[in-house]
Amino acid sequence: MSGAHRLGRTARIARLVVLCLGAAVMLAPFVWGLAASFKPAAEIWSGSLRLIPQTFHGWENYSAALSRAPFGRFLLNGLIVCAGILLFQLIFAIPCAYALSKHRFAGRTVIFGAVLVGLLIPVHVTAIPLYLGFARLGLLDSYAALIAPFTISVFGIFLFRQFFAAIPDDLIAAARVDGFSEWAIIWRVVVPASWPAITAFAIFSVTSHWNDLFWPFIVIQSTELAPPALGVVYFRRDESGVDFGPMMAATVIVTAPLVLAFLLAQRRFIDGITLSGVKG
Amino acid sequence: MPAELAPGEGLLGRAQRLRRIGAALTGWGLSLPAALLMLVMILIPTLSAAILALTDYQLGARSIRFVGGANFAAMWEDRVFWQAFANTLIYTALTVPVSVGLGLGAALLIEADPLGRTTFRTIYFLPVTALLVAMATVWEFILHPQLGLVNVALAQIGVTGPDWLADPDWVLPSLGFIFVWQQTGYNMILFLAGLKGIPSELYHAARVDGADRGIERFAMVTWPGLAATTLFVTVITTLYSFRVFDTVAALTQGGPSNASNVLLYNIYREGFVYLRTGYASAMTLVFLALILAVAMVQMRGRRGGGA
Amino acid sequence: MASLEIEDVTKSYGATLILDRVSVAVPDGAFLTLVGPSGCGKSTLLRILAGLELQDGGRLRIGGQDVSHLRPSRRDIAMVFQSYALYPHMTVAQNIAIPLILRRLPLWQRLPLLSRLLPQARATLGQIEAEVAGAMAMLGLTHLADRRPVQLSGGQRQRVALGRALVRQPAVFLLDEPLSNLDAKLRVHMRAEIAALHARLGTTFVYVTHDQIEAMTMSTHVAVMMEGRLLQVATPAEIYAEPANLQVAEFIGSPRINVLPARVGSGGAAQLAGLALQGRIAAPAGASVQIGIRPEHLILRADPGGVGTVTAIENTGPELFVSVLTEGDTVLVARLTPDQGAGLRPGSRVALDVLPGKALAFDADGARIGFGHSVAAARELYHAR
Repeated sequence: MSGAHRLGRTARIARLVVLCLGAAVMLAPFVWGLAASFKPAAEIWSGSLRLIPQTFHGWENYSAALSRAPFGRFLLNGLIVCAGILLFQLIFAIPCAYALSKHRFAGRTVIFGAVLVGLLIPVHVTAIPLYLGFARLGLLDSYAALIAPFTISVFGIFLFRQFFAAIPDDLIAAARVDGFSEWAIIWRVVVPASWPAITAFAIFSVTSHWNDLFWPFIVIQSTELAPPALGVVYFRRDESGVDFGPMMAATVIVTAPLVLAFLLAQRRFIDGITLSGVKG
Repeated sequence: MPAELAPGEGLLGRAQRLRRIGAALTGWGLSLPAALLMLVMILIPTLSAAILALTDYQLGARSIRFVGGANFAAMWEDRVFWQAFANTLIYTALTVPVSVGLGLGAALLIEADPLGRTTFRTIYFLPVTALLVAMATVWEFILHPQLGLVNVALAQIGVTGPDWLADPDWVLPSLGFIFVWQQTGYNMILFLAGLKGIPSELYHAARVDGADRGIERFAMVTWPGLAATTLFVTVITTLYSFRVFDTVAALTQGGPSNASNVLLYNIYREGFVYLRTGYASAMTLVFLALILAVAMVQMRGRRGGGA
Repeated sequence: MASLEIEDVTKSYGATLILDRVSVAVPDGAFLTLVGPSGCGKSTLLRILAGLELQDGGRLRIGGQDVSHLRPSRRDIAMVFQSYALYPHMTVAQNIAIPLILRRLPLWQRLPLLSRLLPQARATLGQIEAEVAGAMAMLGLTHLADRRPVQLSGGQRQRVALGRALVRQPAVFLLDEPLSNLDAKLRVHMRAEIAALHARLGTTFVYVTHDQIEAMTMSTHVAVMMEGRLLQVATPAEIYAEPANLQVAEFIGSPRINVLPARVGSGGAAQLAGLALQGRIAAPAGASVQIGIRPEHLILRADPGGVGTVTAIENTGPELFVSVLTEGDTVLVARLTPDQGAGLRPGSRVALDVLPGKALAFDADGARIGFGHSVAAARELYHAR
């Protein structure tokens, strides 16, 4: 923007006031939850608006949360599931997207058509038949059940296809002349040239599966296999909502990883999470 | 040079045919795993859902019977289904305009002046990165009828706040509020990207042309420039609001008395609690139809919008 | 009736000085071109004229009226932008009409329904439509009236932008590198079209470009700017023949002017390697100076005993550019007709000469100093700075 058009003083102050009010609402649950995680029950239920705890009860709340539910395990499950999903998504989507963008072959339009159809179908629609399938295979309540339905990301194929199309054909022709196989071209030419798209997709994939509740809610019964979102639901159910101190501590524990990651790599996170914007 | 080259055409034709076969083989070789998975994980399950919707299958049952449109007829009579359907639409009608409007407003205000631009952007986007079920727990705490932040604050100005999540009149707006809280930052980022795409020379031209008031420049440059973005943001927010599940499952379980029962939660309950698989599948198709209808609006709008 | 006066305009962004006390005045109907390398401040000066940016100091007068602090819409100017800045959602006709609508209809009458219902607004709109039709006819846009900008070619968009500017009949036209997004052939065509438009309208034009050909071919006044300073304002012919300093001499003219270091001998004679020059330099004996010679003023004669060696010949068809290596490792470029250069080959030895009275002299700081026959005129130039 050129500096030509500046707001007047009143307008600037009004802008700041409105934005600060909005920011207060946005931040309220973070601040209030964090504060409560350090307060003893008596203080939480005193109905006071005081933010800073009078008695520091953080240690007790956090150790209570950690002893009553395996939060370390939930986080680890989240990590395993997200990493597994991402790994398979990349392995399957990248070669397919490469073939769709750089090869002309009979059946290409059919595959691409399937991708476009797939983009419209959320997991909620396929959930029941998938559940029946996993039940038949005896795979319910397992990491496999958590990971398998998401090993194929049509959105990933769609996104990478767009990105790969922008890679000059000459670069790929040169690699072929140099004697690279198609497989080698993918992993040694195309992938290194596409890091921005891959990181953005990785962040998109990890955040959506880290936060997913619907599918784990259906297929997982055992506490030891629950990813973070489901872990919170289990913990709430067991605590039946009375002991807010440890509950807030638990909330902080499961929320912190992604929020911290966002604060550390903001630009990439914003690009990644808003990636579904490319979809349109 | 080899001597067989003499009947050039035949050989060249064969080479071309081989090339074509080779290309098809590589193409399929590279995309086959993905294609198979798409078939197994997306296309076949979708078809199966459509077929299940025509049966009386119950989870775990031995028998399965084709019942035609009976599930849909039952749905027509099912008060709970209609309530969930209506709740989903009400929830969408409440949340979409608000979160799109606030997202646009936030983006415009943030872009209006350089002061604090990055800080505000970060703060507004923060909820998007937070684990929704966890933050829903905090909101439940803040919305607690007697001791929550909101009602305590209201009490200080002499207002008795309702029991936000247990009052049938307030539960949907309360859940909607949590959605808006999370979605606004996301929409803001999309609008910010849209604003970046408007060339600043257009604003200069508008000022030279005589658009002296900010509102005139907004009407002439900003709003038309954001038309495509606005449509897209509205569509994606609508799709997200149709999918509301986490907050319902964690906070209200559809209660009180179905006041917060929504389509997805109802499908979950019919399919996995009452085990009426066929019936739940039929509702899944209704859900899919809703999604496709909104996607059509988007495509229509993109085609018709032109510029 | 709008003369234009720019007086001591200064602008800086933070610590960077963009415009350093720039003053220009041109009469009504002038075509003033601001030319200079990118980053010289010419576009900033134009935007200050438009009122899109405010100067830190100095005054602007249009038609004698002080507009220094008026907002853009009050300055009676119209502007054509580099990217044309057409409103993408409006048709050609709407784009051209918008400045008139904004000026003549109050905000509430512009509401889509009201403008149809109110007789007064309808009359105004009818008048506007007629004027827009006139402008479109003048620019050959009539058949495109209902198209959107995306459906137009570059040249057509350019014309719409011109139409939007001229429909208002402003006192001054501002054009910011309007041809830079067009391909070479179209650029030549639009150059002629804009010049013809200026001739027909008789309005004052201020035109910004980095292309010296545009500056030389279209303008009545050329202002050469560099690093925020105005170096010289003059007619194109004067700028070329009598540059006020070495920077202007080097910027205008292609191929570039040849510059040779020299020393002033006794009686003002120029002492430089390989060339004998007539005339006296208006500088004390012993001073170091620089001599500038335009390529077309250099004469080459094939001469086995000459001091120069031809190193390269570029043939453009109507003329030859001949590079000659001479004493002191300097390379000079001469512009010859094919006949004049007929006998020359790379490696040919040549003797060099300069058309009498055509060499220019500059002092060590690059300021023009008197040389040869026009000593008095050159002195005047020198002191005028």
